[in-house]
Amino acid sequence: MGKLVKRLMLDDIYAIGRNESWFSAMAKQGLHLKKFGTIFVYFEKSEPRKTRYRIDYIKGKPSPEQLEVYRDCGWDFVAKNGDFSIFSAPEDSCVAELHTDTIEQGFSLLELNKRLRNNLIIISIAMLWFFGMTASIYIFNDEPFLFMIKGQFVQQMLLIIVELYVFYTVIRNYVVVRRLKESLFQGREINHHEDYRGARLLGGILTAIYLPLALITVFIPFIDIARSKDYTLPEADANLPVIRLGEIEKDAGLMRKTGYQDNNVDWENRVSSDWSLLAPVQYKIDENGIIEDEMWDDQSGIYSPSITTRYYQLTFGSMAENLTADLIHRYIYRDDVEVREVNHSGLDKAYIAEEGTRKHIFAYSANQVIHITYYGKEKVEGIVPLIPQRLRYQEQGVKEE
Amino acid sequence: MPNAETPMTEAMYYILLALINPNHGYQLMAAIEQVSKGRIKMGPGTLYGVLTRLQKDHLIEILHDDGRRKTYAITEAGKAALKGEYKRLQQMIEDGRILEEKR
Repeated sequence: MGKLVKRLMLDDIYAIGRNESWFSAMAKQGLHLKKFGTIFVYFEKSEPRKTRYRIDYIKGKPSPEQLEVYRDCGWDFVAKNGDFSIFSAPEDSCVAELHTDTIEQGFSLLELNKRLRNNLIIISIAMLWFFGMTASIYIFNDEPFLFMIKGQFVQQMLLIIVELYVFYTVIRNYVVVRRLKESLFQGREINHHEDYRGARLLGGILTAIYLPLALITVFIPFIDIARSKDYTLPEADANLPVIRLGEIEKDAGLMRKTGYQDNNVDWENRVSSDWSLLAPVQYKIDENGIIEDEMWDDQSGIYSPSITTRYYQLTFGSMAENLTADLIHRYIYRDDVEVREVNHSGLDKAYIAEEGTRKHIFAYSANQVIHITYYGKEKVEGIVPLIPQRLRYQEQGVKEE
Repeated sequence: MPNAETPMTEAMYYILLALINPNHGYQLMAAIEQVSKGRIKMGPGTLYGVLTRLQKDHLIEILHDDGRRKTYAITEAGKAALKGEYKRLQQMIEDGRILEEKR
């Protein structure tokens, strides 16, 4: 047995004439069809021969008797894929055609045509449902930008592209078989020498685009998981885009207040970093402190200020304003809280809001968005000027990496 | 789409005709050639395509299947369809007589 040579299928299995023509062209180069899969086609290398190939739709397995009849008529069984069986005969032999009646051949495709039509109906319904679901996530979401950045937006979009490609394939298959059936009913024979190059090239291009996309879609969640990590916030400066309690609180007696420990991570003083394509650098940093000899102003207990920083470095700076608006919507709980814009030369925009001892700063500069929630007695206005240098620091830190 | 029964395709007509005597695949081809006096050389793809379709439409049945070969035979419904087609063709021939008269 000669060496087996593998080729990508690239064209549709339903493009009967084109595939027959391709197999004949390969045989002329000494590559004789051996196995016919959905992704790969295998050829055996030997002497070039002019060979006719015919693809026949035979539901189920052709019986031995049937194959014997085909063989006695000069058609040798070569390979099979699903309900398609392939037969070959030497080009120069005078064997009769496999199909001598185009209308009967058309009838033989009726069932396949019906099956592909049902596929199309089912997948159309599935696509409508899928699009509806995806669209509703964004339409009925109060904070679409925050959701896009935190969620799997890019993956969802890629998934839509991949699904559209599948949809297109199902439509194309249906149309191809329907046209073939109609043309047979009109008495036109299958063109066994149809040009296959264009279709194979197009198939190759589509596969080259679609396959990496499908792979990316599969791998994005893994990158996401691999890139997200939690660790305890170091007491020393850690080159993080964060304002430390120590910078805000005036009292030298400020101590760290540790909390629940899990996997050696202090949940009260924790850095959680995350990744997404739209916001490759994301942090949520908590810090809790306590000043033993000081009480809250309402005497409710020992003074224990805390600060939570959410930081996003965006792929597209144009999303910064919308993300800031979404963050305000998400984290300001009460309707009667006044959100004030404050001007600072180092920031594109900054807003502050106070809900009693719970104070917020929302700010962005170019593609960096920061949201600080501070529980404590110090004035929020005093914190704003600290932000620009931390953002700049982070920018430089990222560049040095 | 052509109607599945009238007019019959030539292949269908001759297969039904040949199956008045129960027969199996290979000899069926020879029988068709014989009954058409060598005019019809049917491709095996067409033969089995028609056999599958006729069986589904209950115009023929499998009389005997020993696992290696199947023996097919025409059913009553098949006979009726064949007779109907024969009558139609006969009518057509009769109508066509004017051709000879005009000659």
